Amino acid sequence: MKRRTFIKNSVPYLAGTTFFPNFFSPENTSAELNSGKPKHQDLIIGHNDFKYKIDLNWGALNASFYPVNDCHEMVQDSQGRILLLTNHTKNNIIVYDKSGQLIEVWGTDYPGAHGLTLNVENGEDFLYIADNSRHEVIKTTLDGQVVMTLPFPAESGKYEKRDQYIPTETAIAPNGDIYVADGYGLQYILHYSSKGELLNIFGGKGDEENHFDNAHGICIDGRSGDPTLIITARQQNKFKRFSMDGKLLDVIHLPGAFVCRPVIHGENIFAATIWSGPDKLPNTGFISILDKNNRLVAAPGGSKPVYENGKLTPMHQTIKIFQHPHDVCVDDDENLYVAQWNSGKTYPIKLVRV
Amino acid sequence: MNYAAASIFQLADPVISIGSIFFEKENEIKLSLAYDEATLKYTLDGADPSEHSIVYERPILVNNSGTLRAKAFHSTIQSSNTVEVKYFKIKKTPVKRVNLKRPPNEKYPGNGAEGLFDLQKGSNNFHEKKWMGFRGDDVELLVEFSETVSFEKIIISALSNPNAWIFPPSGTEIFISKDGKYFYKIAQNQLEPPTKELQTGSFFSTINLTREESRFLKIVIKNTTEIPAWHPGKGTPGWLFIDEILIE
Repeated sequence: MKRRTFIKNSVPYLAGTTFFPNFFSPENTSAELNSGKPKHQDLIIGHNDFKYKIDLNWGALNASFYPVNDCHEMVQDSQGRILLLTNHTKNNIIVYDKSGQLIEVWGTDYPGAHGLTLNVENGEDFLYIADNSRHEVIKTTLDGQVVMTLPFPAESGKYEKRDQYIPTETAIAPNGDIYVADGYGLQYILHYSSKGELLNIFGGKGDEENHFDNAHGICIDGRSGDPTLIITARQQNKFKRFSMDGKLLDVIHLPGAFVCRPVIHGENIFAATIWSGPDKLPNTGFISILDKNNRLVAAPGGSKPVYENGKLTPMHQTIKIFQHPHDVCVDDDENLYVAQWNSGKTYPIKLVRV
Repeated sequence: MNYAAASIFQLADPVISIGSIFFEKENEIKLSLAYDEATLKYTLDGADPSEHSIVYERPILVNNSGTLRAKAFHSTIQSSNTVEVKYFKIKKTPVKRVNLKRPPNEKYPGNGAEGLFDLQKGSNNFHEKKWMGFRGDDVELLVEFSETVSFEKIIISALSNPNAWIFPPSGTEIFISKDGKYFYKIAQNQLEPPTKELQTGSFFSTINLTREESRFLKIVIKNTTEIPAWHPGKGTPGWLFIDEILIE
């Protein structure tokens, strides 16, 4: 697998010792053995209360039968299963248990499968798939039956043609309203009723703070009472909070962190961070974790978050574990599953909280 | 359950921060890799940093042109790659007027033609305002100094980012003139076509001259007319991004 070539697979160089002679020689004392043998020391990444060990083999399948291209997003369903969305049309959805055992696969009609949101409606799990290539959002049951399609929003009057609309994510409000982020298109946020009638449209491209550059993700934030929207402006290294009727409320600055969708779990926001640093170089991703005050408290794979005069100092990758993390799913045991874009068709990486 | 061992991973590239890589007096360089127990080491003599190199503890003050190379070390995690920055101490030339024969691409106008002489270096992010981008077109610049200046070296500061179809210049031609009308060529260089190994980063093309004096200077920077065969964009015009022209 490509992931293994990405990680350097060599024995660490230890000055003045040779590894094999020590290891095989019966005369050696344990002290010598310790000095020559590379210790298997589990790597622990993260900061503050958010520290993790890494399971690189989680969910790895035989790619001849269960292939992935980009692993775009993951959610946990009400039965505790982990669902992965990939843009490989042999199996757009791969369902695992938490240990990474395959349960089932489905989906062959989502060539641009990008956003995966789960919403419980009258006790039943439904999925919302934002498809970049089909230029629409598809609502399905948990086993893939199509319930509703939200097509290209011609009625909004903002689009000249279908191709301009490239939805990346959906979020479902407590009242059933559906919000769609056109993160690779014209950067509008579309607000629909649960039946699919367009109620409002806001955001769009531009230089003002209520505009977006790569509105890649959206979620409903109910952490402090009334729901609000948190929307990604990835190219701007920001999350922007909006009221449910589309008014900008505040901005969360994350310099150096190209955050994907916000994922709320408990009082925290988790976000896969696909690139980092001033230069947005390839393979510089990590995971961002924000506290209830929306301050970065941990960055597994990234630099230790430091605030100076209330401002986060620019973030950067510190260890090459992740290539291009695209989404993070937090399970009911507080473990993380990291799905990656453009990372050698590798399966997700699991981070086990310690 | 087998968790991943620390020893299979490599530290990421240290981040180099420098006010401007072009400076007139002195300059401060900061290094960072905010990973617990990682040590940063560096050299200023062009050598690859080793365990024995200088440990980075505080910002480094430099007062001459040079190259800093840095690397991060850790007891169990593999050392980082070596990263480097070249920096240039230069005297600002008294530029009166700059004219661009063909405007840059409308998406990447930079800070205007004058911005090419402001000693402000762009980062590796080509979206940054300091970068001026040209698709396929050569860059032709007419510079008028406010007085006759003498110079012996011209450095074109460009960007390479093959993922974004941005390539170093393919060559440069330098002309001078007494009256701003009739120019004659005093130097040119031709650069090898980029190879697959081309990485994202700063690219400097230096043209050495026998000492010349002039009030007018014309610089032609050649774009990549055909992207090489190894690249997905093969055969089509490349992008040329420049942020600064240094006259020494």
